[in-house]
Amino acid sequence: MGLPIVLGSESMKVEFIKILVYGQGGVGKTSLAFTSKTPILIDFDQGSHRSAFRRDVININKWEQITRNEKEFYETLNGYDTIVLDTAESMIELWSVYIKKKQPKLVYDKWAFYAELKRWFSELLTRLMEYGKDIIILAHDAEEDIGTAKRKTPRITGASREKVKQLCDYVGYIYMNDRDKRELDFNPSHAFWGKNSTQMGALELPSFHDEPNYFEGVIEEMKRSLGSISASHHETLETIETAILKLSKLTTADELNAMIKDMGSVTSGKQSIWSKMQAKGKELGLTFSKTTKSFVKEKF
Amino acid sequence: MRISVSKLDAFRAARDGAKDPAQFIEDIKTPFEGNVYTGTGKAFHKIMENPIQYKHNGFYEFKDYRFFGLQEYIPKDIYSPLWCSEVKTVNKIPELDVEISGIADVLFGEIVRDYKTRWRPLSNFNQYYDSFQWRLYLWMFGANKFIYDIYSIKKAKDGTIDITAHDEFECVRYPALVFDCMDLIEEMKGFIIENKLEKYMVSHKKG
Repeated sequence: MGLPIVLGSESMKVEFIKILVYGQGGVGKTSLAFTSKTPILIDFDQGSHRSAFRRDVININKWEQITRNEKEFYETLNGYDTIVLDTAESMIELWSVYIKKKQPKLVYDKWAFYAELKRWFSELLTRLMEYGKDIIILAHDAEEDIGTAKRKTPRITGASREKVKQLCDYVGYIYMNDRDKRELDFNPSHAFWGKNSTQMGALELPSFHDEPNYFEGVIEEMKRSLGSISASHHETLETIETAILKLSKLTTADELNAMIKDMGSVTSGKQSIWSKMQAKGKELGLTFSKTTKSFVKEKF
Repeated sequence: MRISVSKLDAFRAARDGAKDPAQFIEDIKTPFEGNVYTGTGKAFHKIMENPIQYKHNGFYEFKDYRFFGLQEYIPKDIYSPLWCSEVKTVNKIPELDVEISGIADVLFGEIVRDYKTRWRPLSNFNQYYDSFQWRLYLWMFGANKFIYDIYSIKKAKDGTIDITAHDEFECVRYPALVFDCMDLIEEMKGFIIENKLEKYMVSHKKG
């Protein structure tokens, strides 16, 4: 009887992803976001007009604009492939003004305010994710101390920043490199926070005049790579499953030792299989001898 | 020379100014006996190795440690036969004549998981993100993803322990990860030799 694996080994299609891009004002975050697939940018910063590559925009300067027309707001998003929140801190600021008007006690109770902020922010992101769109969150940068050094980090208020880091598949910092070109890097470093789910190298950004759909291509590549990592994980699970099935039929030290020889050809899941082999050895009353590199009968 | 992942990360903390280097040397020389906090953590880890074994009506218990509120935070794949708990590994680096040892709480396919219990509410992920534990384990296990399962705990008046929150924080492999690990290992080896600590770096109990 097969083991109850729910996961399949087929390549899993990643339908949508969440990306946080942060950097200094004017470095090109908004323009980059406009090169994603059919984007709708929710402009909490009143700065999208500065981008030469502007696409559809919803200008929000009071949170009430959303709460009063909530149904319409979310229905509007349905017509697009990518939702861009520009910027996270401005969005939180507008919400903060709104919620403090609605719940005045939050003005004086900092901890209650942060708890409410965290709850609201998680709920908002979850709701947006339910729409099955790609989400791009833009943020300015801030500096934080790490020991004696400084590191760039997204400028997002407290607990909500951690939530974004937790939920996003990618966190990238955009900056001017030493060739005076804009570079987007998702890799963690001493200099800035990053999260790179598919080992992409740093991206030197092209002119968006030449490549108006640039980020759409990058996001497609991200999705493909995420899918293949998932498939590789499932293949490893299958290899382990096959080994466990084989182990379940073994009854002697010789059979277990024959399996050690087979381990040479195993390319993934080796350590998991070895831990299961050790458990099997224990079950059969065997110990692994480091001298003979084989399982032997335990001495009493 | 054998160095454990936990010692490497403690070295990283000392190097980056997050820990007193003199204290780090002292910790290497003095075997850690454990305390009430590590006792709770050990009990928690023991339960997570096989929760069914320690499950009672409404709580989980190992020795004198009784945990409430854990049920809803048990990882969904924990009962899969492919879920491997307490997986040991030793990676040899012949070029540096060093062995790195570690024990992953969980290895599940290409995902490594690590359980953390903490007595203070979590305010940010930096201490986990800055750690080299996840980098080293991703390299050592050839894994792609490392998940910190962070359980905030609180002692109730009757001495039992409540799980007050659970956060998952995911760290992923990046292209320069192996180089970062090798740099740290080389740097620590130099520190060990410079401070004549080689005799303490021969075996390990816990990664």
